Amino acid sequence: MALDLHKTAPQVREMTLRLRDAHDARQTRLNRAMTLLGNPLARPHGPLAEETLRQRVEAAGPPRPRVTFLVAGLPAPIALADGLDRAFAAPPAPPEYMALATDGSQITVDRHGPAHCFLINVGGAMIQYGREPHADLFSQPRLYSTPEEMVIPDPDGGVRDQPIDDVLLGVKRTAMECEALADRLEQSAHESPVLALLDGSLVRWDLSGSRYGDHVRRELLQDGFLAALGRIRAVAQRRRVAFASYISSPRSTEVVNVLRVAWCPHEGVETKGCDNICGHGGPGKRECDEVATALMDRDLFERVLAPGERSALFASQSPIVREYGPHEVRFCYVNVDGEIARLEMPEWVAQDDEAVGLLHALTLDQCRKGGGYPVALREAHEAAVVTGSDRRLFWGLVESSLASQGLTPRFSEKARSKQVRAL
Amino acid sequence: MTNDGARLGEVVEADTAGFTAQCDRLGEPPALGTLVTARDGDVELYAVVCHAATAGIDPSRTVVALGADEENEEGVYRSHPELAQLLRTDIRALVVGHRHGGRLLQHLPPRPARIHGFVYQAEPEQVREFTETLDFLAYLVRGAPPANDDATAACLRLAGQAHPDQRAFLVRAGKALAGLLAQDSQRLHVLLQMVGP
Repeated sequence: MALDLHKTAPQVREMTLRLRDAHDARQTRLNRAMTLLGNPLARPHGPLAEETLRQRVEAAGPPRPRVTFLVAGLPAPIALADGLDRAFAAPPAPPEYMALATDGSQITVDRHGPAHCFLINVGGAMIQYGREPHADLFSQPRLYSTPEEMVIPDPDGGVRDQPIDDVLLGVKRTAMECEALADRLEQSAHESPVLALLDGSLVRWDLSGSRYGDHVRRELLQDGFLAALGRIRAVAQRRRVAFASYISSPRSTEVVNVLRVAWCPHEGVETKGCDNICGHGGPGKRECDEVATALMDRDLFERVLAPGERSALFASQSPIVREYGPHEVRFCYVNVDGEIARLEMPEWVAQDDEAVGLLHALTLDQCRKGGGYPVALREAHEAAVVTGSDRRLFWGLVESSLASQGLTPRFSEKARSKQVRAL
Repeated sequence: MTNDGARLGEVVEADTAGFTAQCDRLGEPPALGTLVTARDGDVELYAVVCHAATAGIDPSRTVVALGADEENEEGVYRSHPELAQLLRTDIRALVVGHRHGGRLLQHLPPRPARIHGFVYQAEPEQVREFTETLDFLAYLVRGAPPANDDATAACLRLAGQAHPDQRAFLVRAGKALAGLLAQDSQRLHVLLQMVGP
């Protein structure tokens, strides 16, 4: 049955009225947050010592976060008295460079489908600009179907074999995207500077916590994703490589949460912890909500950054990043003239001013060429994407291949009912 | 004689009446009316280019203007090297005859061109030999006017260059067209004007 728009319309109207009321309150919070971003130590209800703010930010990070929110780390170059709203212009982009990007897509296990398997398709684009312009668009599909491939095996041969669920499939895919990027970087003999981009976040937060065993993190993170980052770093030691992951329209709030802990009027929160002070408050009832509710980092930086400018470099304090070793994640926001994008990079990129400058300049050039989004990432996505029609063709291929071997595909009654759609 | 002219592209769609080929070089299709060859096993098909188009490889992606900030058209391609991978030029060719067992026949071959087979430009000697007989014009004239008439005229102009007495060839071709279009003098008139003096 189709959606009943007559019943939906009044609800949409109600939502619109509520949003209008919320808008004014949000504007007040945003103004407050912008002032605090300019100097997070100067609060109307009393100044905060720089040392205290740094302790609070640190208390929000691992190993034992005492602050409820994920708060951006403030690496040494950030002087709090100067504010968190410093903007940096990009150096000129070199005319000769290579843009390299990979992305991925998957066909997940369909438990109603004809066979137990999944597929990961990694696509990429390598575009050379300058005297000899050329492009190489590529994709590499990989099918997983053996019992050993459907799990992360328990290294002790025990019972802790971890089936690859949707979350782990996503992590595995990201690791493969990063490995494909490393492969191409290693193979490229060109000497021009490289912008190497991944899509999405470098922070594999979905692996944090106790949901998955150590062996899962070891295989997918240490031996997969981080090992590939190590290979990219090795190339960067002999060639100019600006590596980062690119997030369009980021929804993160880590810098807003710095303002939360700066605004917090409760002395000793850094030792007592949020829960022991405002634990029973809930959203909207805590003082820090006055500078943070419904605000995202991009709301702040779209008022701070002129087109082409980037913010200071902040640090991710996500618990999983503790396991990243030399690849701990730094990030900044960039006004790519159309939206605020987020660039995440390993610490070894962030510490190299020249690499950061190159990353900044080339990302802008890619966005300019791509009408607001990096061309190489767009083409990597196009090379990787598995459409609904591709999925149908894939399962059709599986079926006919099974049938050709005299194997009868087994469908669940649910799958059959979806196919037939009988009345 | 075999396919020894310049390679133009690859057959991506084929039916009894003709085939579509993707050109090897973006934006450089053979001229309208060019005689081309393709194969199906030991049969060599002869066809006339009657349409060419350049568009995005993925029909769901719209081609948009990119040159607002560029000084010249080359700049667009220099700034977007990926375009060469995302655009394609296709030609549509009408089959007008074939060669089998050394015999040149001006009627349709038993089967369409082989998909993914290569397409070549016919050498001047092949053009001359094939157009010695003009029965193939029936296939071109039968196609939907007016686009095909342009292809027919272009084909005859090009073929004329392969004959030692160009004028005599064109006169002979004009007579053949007059026979085919006896019922449609207006169309014949326009077509003959396009073929030239």
